[in-house]
Parts: sequence; C-alpha cells; structure tokens
Amino acid sequence: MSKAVRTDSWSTDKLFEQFKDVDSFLISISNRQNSGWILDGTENSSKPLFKDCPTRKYIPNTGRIAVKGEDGKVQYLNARYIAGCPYLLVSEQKEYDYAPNQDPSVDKLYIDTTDRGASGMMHVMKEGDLSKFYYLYLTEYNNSAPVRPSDTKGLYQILDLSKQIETASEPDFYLTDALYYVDSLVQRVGTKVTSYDEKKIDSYCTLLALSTTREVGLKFKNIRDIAKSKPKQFIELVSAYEDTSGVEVEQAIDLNVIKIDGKTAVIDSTNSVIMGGLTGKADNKVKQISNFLLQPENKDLYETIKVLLKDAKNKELQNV
Amino acid sequence: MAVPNIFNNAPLFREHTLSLNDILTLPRFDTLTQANPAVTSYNNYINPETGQPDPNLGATWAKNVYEQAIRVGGRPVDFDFMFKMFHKGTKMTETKRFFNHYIGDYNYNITPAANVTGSGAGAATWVQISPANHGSEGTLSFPVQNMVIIDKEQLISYVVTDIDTSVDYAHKIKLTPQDPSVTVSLYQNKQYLTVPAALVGGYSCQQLMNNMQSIGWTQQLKYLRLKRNWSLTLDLLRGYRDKFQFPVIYDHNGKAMDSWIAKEELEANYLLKMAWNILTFMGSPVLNSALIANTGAVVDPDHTGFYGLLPSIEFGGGTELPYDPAQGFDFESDLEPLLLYQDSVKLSNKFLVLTGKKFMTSADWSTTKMVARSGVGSTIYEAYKRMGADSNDTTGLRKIGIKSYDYRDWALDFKEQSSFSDLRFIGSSKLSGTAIGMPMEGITIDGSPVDPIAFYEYGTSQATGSYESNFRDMRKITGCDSLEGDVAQSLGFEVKAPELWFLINPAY
Repeated sequence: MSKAVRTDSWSTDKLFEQFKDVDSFLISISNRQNSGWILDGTENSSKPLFKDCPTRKYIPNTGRIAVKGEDGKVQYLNARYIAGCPYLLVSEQKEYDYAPNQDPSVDKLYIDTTDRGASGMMHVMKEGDLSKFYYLYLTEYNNSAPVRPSDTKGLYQILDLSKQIETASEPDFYLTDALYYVDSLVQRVGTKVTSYDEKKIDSYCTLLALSTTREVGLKFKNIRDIAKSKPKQFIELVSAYEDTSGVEVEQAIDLNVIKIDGKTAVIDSTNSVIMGGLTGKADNKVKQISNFLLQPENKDLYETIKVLLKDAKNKELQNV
Repeated sequence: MAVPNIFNNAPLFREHTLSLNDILTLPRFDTLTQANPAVTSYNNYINPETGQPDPNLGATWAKNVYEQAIRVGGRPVDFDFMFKMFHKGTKMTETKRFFNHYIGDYNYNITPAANVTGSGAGAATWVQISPANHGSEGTLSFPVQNMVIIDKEQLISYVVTDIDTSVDYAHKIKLTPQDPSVTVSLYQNKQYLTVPAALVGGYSCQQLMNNMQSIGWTQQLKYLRLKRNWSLTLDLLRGYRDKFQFPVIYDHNGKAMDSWIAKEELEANYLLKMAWNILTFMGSPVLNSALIANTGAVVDPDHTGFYGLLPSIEFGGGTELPYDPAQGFDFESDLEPLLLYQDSVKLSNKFLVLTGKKFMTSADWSTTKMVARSGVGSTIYEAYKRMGADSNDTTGLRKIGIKSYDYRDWALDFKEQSSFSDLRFIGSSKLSGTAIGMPMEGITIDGSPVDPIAFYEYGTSQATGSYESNFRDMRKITGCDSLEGDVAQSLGFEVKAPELWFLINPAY
C-alpha cells in the first residue's frame, strides 16, 4: 500500500475548488460479467433483462484520494465520508472533532439496483451533501477519478453521460417513432381505441406481408407487434413507402396528370374521378390522395397514375 | 514353446509400480535414496566440487542423513472444500441441460422516473413511472384508474385519474391529490405505495385490473466433463539391483505412500477432484463459440458448464460489501447496514459465513474496539486473557477471537476455510479477506427448505454413474513398457437464488 500522507497544503475546500466544474456524473459498477440469469418473459424481447452485477454493492466510506501537487508528484490523502460532515479529509475531521455517525448505516454508500433488473448504476448530483459527491468522484474506488493510485482496482467507473443517454435512448427513439406511425392508424380516447383506419391498416398489412383477411383489431395488433419488435426497420419501410407515394402525387399534380378540383381529385387526361371529399390545405390533400392510392383495392388506379406520370415526365424531358 | 509371461501377475504390477526414476534425477537425492542405478551406492558418490568419486564423502553423507525424504510443506491443501461443505449427493437429470429458476417477491411500491411537481394545489399531474415498474415486456403496469397511491412519508394520498400506456416501459399515470389543498410532489426513485384495489361508488361495473405476479428469474446451465490422463513408464524392476529400497513419498494431499503405488494413478483422482472444487467455486461456463463445436473444439454444446459460487453471487445479483482493508471489517459500521438491508427486503437472517483467515483477524480487530467506540460507560470488554503465571509473574497472553455473531435475531456462524488463504491453491490475499454468506433459510419449495447449492449428474439412476476410471496395461496393447489410465467425470452445479447470498471482500 502506498503511504498516505497528511499534508497541510491540501484541504477539503481546495479539493472542492479544484473540481468545482463537475456538476453530476453517472457511475456504474465496473466489474460486470454474464451470470446466465434472465428475467422471465424478457428473453425474446427487444429489452432482455440480464443480471450481470450484484443487486446491491456497497462502497467503503474510508479510502484514499490521489492528488497531484504543484510539483507534479502524486500524493495520497486519507478520506472518509461522514454524512453531514463538511470535511472530506480525515485530518480535518479529526481537527474539527467529526466522528462517524452513531448509526453506521447513515454513512454507508452503495449502488443499488431495482428488483426488476441489475442495472447497477447511480446518478450522482451535486446537490445537498457535497462531501458525498466529491468522495464518490475523487476516491480510489472510482476508476475514472482524475488521479488514481495505480495499486488498486476501483469498484465503479463514470459513464460518459451524453454518450450513455444517446445509446440508451436510441431504441426508445425508434420505438417511439414506430409507435407514432402505428398509432396514426387508430383513434383513441384515453387508452381505449374507438375507431380504426381500416384502409390504411390494410395497406400496412400488404406492405408488411401480413394477412389482410383477419379482424381489424388483430391486424392492428400484428402491425403493432412488428413495430415493437423491429422498430428501426419498420420506420424505414413505412416512411419510405409513404414518402414515395406522396412525392409521386405531388409530381403528378405539377405535371397536370392529377388535377384537384375543389374537394375532388381527377385524372386530367381522362377526367375520371380518383377520389372526393378532400379537405384542408394542399399538403393535406396530397397526403389524402397518397393514402387513398396506397390502399390495396386502389392498386390498379395507382399503377395507372404511375404510367401516366412516367409519360408526362418523358414529355417534359423532350420539351427541355 | 510358449514364452513364459513373467508379467502375467497383473494385480502385483497394478499395485507395485514405481515412478521415482522418472521424477527424481537429482544426483544427491539419488545417492541418498539409492534411486538411480547409475549411482546405486554412496561409494560411487561424485563430489560435485572436484568432479571425482569421493567414497568418504559419500559415506559421511549417507551416515549423517537419517531422514531420507523429509517433506517440507504446510498442512495439506484443503482442495475438497467445496464438496465437503456443499456436496450432499448428486441429483440425477435425464438431460444434459437444466434450468435454475426462482421466484422472488413483488414490491407493491412504484417509483417515478423523474421528479414531478404539480402546477398547483389540487391539480392533476402526469407522472411517468420507472421502467422497473412494468411487466410483460413493458406493456403492463400495476396502477389502474381510481387506484390510490400513497406517499408514505408525507402521508399524502393521490388517486390515479388517467393512464397512458402508449409507450412501453414508460407508462404515465395522472395523479390527482385527494386533498384539494395539496400540490402533487413526487421524487425520482422514491417508493410510493400502491393500494391494490380501486375506489368506486355504490354502484360500479367491471374494470380490468392488472396483477403483477412475483418475479421469476431463469438460468440455463449445462454439464461440464473433466478428464485427467496419466501415463507411467515401467522401468522399476530393472533399476534396483544392489539395494532394494522404497522411500516414502508424499502425494498432493500430504499422505505418505510408498513408491510401489503408481502415484500418477492415485493423483489423477485427487487432481480431478481438485479441478471440480476450483470450478464449482470460481469457474464460469464456456460461452465463446470459437471453443464450442460438436467436434474439433474444446467442448461440445452439451458440456459448456455452469457458474461457480463466486461468479454466481457477484454477477448474479447477490449483495456485495467491499470494505477498506486498511481499516478491517467492522461489525458495526460494515455488517449492521448489510443486515438492515437484508431485513428491509426480508431476506435470510441466518447465515453460515465461509471466511478466510484474514477476514477473521480483521473482524477481531473491530470487535476489540467495539465497546470503546460505543462508549458504553465502564463496560469491560475482554479482548485478551492472561494465562497461568509462573514464579516471576510472567504469563502467556491469549487474544480472544470470535466465531459467531448473534444480534436481534440475526445469527452468523463463521467457518474458516483454509483454502481461502492457501497461496498454493485458490488462496490470495483478497480471498483471505473474503467472507461468503450462505443463507440458512429463505429458499423453499412448497414450504420445505431446499439446499442453496445442488450438484447434478446425468443418467436415470445412481447406477449409471458419471465417474469413470480406466487403467490400461500398454504391454498388452502396444507392447510398450508402460501403464496408462484416465479418470473422467461429468457434473452439473447450481447456486440457487444468488440474491440471498452475500459476499464481503477487501475493496482492493
């Protein structure tokens, strides 16, 4: 063990001052390994819950803090966490008569996990007990401490918070977006579904190679299941599908293949009605026509418009 | 004419094989034990300094060495500690993979995912509950409309007036304070009690309610198969012409044995057992696919193995309590918080604690200072004892250690494990300071206690057995003067409910 020294040049205030820019950090138990334990029912889900660390891991409330002096040499300071004590260094605690609290559990630090999975992480905020904040940040038990004794192995490490949040929220991000698409297929009041957009549900079923002959609630559930299990692929497929038809309708209007006459969309060359009941602004009408064409029973009409659009594009190019 | 087979008395050779000549090639030792035919007599002893035979020196050497093979070693390695402690027979399985499963308790509290403060007194406020409070892949959560949620510390009751379950693992509940003068205020990760029934008026209709079942964890385990081969060249009968002497040697277990026994054969059994003890204590399964294949790899998919005791506790959800080794383990400041936690989740109060030597000495330090630290008046705490005085009033001094700890229905019995501090074996300074708490209660099936550790072997009855020992006389197989053999065994192992175990070890 390296010699721990008491040096008058170091004090709790000096340590706090030196690392005043640290506001919060996320610590995670550093020694993790597969244990084979998995929470029932999560093994086939997108978020299987494994155990890879203790349910609770304590952190000793005495330890060393390594600091670098002005001469660049590393010194070790004896530190002790006492709840409610403003001093971190044992030398100062002795000087000002601070002893450990009568109830030892008050001074005990630990990283806990919930009963539903072994996350083994703790978000440490700089609020309230500053001694606790800096004890966890500076002692040798932190593998990411600014200066570390080389002869010990820490108990936890600091995770890069921004990176962690990004990684942790990525699946949530996709999932939320995917469920947004799915939820646009139904009308809800509270948690209860009151009506289904059956035609759009059928078009999604066709797109996802699902049966369209089942009861609508079941079809909706099938779509939702796929969105939940593979949210990223679902979004890519559905958004590409919807965007393509939207762009095509816009082009068809620009090239006078489709003409919007008030609430009715017609094919200009044949004057045959595509659909009526259009509402809202132009953008919204494009979306309504696009949705209409994506419905399985309008597949032929959609193909006809595609052919007319292609011809119109060719003519346009020749004119140029 | 038939060639007489002078080696046909198999039992004799089976028992009287000698391996010394293969093992010992040290000239002085050979002289001493007369083990090597090249230096069969001390008269032929070569003085290493002159390089010449020195009969006088040889004679002196032989005369003055009375003890021949003195064993300088410690007490025998306690390599069978795991089996001695936990092996109460093996259970038979008809498959090569088995499942370890336990069901825990449900916590009737919910925790908010973030701090929430309402917009004003009596105002309903949305609260997102933490992912841990969800079940069925995040699609279900316990609260239902009109359920009451209680802030136990402030004694404030809220009613759930709406629920949004659109995002899995992020369900939201709308809380309305029962008292219109109260503003909703909930803190992240603080537990709020759910009242598991909903408020209704005099007439009500059926409302669906979720019921969180107790939580199950599953672990798939497989068998391990270990094998140890041995081989022994037979040159024994040709080396000992002028002095027929069979020095005593010692096996790994420190047992004296004469050299007529094939040490390799006997030790193969010991070493196999040693291997099992190591792997059931600290081994992990083979998970790397590069090592697993039906043929041509280290193991096949049916024999990838299991998690030993230490990995099961440390990575499988036990409680870990590292302590500052410079301070030693303190019963008050270290152990009591651990026991209070065990009590808070109503886990086992009684433990058999397997410890290393250093852990116990550090625990002794802490007990000697306990009373002084507590400052209980003039209580005398006996830490040392003076033993019978001689005529000069000089006494022996005995330090008093502890071997059990009883306090408010908690009971810990310490059992020191020699192997934890055995540097020749699994011991290290860290393990010497380690204590493993084995729950003595809390693991039950249909109310009956179950051992927290189990051993398995495959087969349909005990008679099939998985242990085998083979012996081959190679003179009858290949014509070479050697004996060969192997021992092999398949075994399964599991630690039940690691959550109930604790692990105390030095933090560095």
